Amino acid sequence: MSFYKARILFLLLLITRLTYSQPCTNPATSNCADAIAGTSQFLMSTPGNADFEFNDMQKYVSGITLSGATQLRLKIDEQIVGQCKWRLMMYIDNNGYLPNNEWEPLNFYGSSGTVPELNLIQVKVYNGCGTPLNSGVYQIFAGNIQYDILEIIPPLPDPINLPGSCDGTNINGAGSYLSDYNEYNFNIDYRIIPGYSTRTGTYQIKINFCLVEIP
Amino acid sequence: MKKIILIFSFLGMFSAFSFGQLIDEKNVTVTMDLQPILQLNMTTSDQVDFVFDDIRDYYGGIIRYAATILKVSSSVSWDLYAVGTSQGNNGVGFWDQQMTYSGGGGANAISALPLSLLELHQYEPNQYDANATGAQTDYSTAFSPASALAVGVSSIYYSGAPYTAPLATEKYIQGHKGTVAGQDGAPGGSYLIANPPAGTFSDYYFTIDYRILPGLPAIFKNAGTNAGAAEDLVSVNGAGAYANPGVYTMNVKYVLLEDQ
Repeated sequence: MSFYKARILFLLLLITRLTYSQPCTNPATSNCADAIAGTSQFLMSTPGNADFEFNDMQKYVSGITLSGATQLRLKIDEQIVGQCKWRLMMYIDNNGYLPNNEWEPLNFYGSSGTVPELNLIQVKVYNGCGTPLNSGVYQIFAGNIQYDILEIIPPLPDPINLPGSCDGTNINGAGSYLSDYNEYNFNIDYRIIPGYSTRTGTYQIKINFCLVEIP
Repeated sequence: MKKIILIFSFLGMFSAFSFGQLIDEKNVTVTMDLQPILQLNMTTSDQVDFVFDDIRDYYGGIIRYAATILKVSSSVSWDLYAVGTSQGNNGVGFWDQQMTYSGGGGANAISALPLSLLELHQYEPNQYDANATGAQTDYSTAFSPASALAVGVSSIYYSGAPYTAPLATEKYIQGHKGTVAGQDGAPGGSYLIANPPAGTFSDYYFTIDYRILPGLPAIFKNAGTNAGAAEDLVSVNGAGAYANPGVYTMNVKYVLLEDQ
C-alpha cells in the first residue's frame, strides 16, 4: 500500500469516526458478554411502532397516552467477574430533518400552525424496583435537538450496583430479568398533548434505546 | 510516518468493525397523525320563527335573543361566518315565498324580500378582524332603535355561493379574510377549556340575536349591504312598494373553516 493510499484511508476513517455523532458508540472495554453474538440479551418484547392518531377534539385536549408501549428486558452476563458495568439510555432521532429540533413531517393537511418540536413527546420509564433515573416520572427531551439523550441507567462511577436490593438504586451490574425481573425489566409509556398551535399533518420520530458497557 | 499512519488506520478499522462487546440498540418509531378538527356545536333550535300578527310587531320589530348559541372547537386557526341563503324561488338573494295571503296583495305588493332584512347581533365581538375593510367587520353593533335608520349595519351577509368565504369587505363572526397570524383568524382552541375574563365569553362561544323590523308600511328599511347600499323594498322597487303578506323562509348557515 502506497503512502498516499494509506493517508487517504486514514482520513476516511477519521471522517467516519468524527461524523458518527449518534450517542450509541462502541465501548472501550469488554468486561460484559456481547448482547448480539454472546450470552447477554437486550430484548424488546413490544412492537417497534407507536402510533398516535389525533382525530377527535377530546384527544387534542387531553392528549393520548400509550401505556407500556415499549418493554425492554435485559440479561447481562459478565466476562470478567466483578467488572461488568453498563449504561442504558434513549435518544431521539428525527431522521436528519432540518431544523433539527422538529419532527420529520411526512405530509401536511393544513397550512396554519407550526411543526411540532422534539420536546413534545413525553416518556416515562419505570420498573418494579424503581431503578431507572427519574423512575415513573414523565420527562421530555429537554435539549430539544436531534440525538438528545435521556438516561435510564446513567453512566455511574464505581462501585457497580448489583441486583437484589430493590431500593431504587440504579442497578448497572450483571444480572437478568429472569432472576431479578423488577430490576432488569423496563416499561416505557409515551404521552403526547399536541395543543392547538401545531400544523396538522403526519409526523415521525424515532426513539432509540442504547445499551452499552461502560468502563 | 507511513508505518504510523498504517497502524492508526488498522486500529481505526478494528475499532469500527469489532464486536464482542456489550452494545445493542432497539428502536421505536413514533408516528403522530394530527388530523384537522373543526367542530361547531349549535345547541339551540334550528328553527327561528317570526310571526307578525300585531301592529306593534311591525312597528317595533321582533327580536329573538340568544336564539342561537355557537360553540367552537378547532385544532387549527379558523374563521366563522354567517351567510343567508334561500332556494332562490324569488331569485338569488331573496326569501322563498311558501304561501301568499290575501290573494297576493295589491299591485305594489312585493314578494321578493331581500335576505338582508334579517339582522343579527353577536356577542362577543370579532377579535380577529384587524385587516377587514368593510363598514362593519362583524355583527357586534347593537340593534338600532326601531325609529332610527341603520341601513346594512346589522344585515346578514348573503350569497348564492354560501361555502365561498366572504371577502374582506363583508362581516364575519370571528376571524376574517386573510391569513395573517393573530389578525385574520382565531387560533386553535376549544370552548371546553378556554378561560375568559370574568363577565365575558371566550373566543370560542357566541350568542346570536335575530331581529326583523318590517316597519309600516312593511319595507324593511334597514335592509342593505355592508357598504350601506339600501335594499329596502321602496329603494329597490319604487315608491309605494310593500311586502306581500305570506309565509317566507330563508336559511342561515354558520360556516366554520380553516383560516384562509
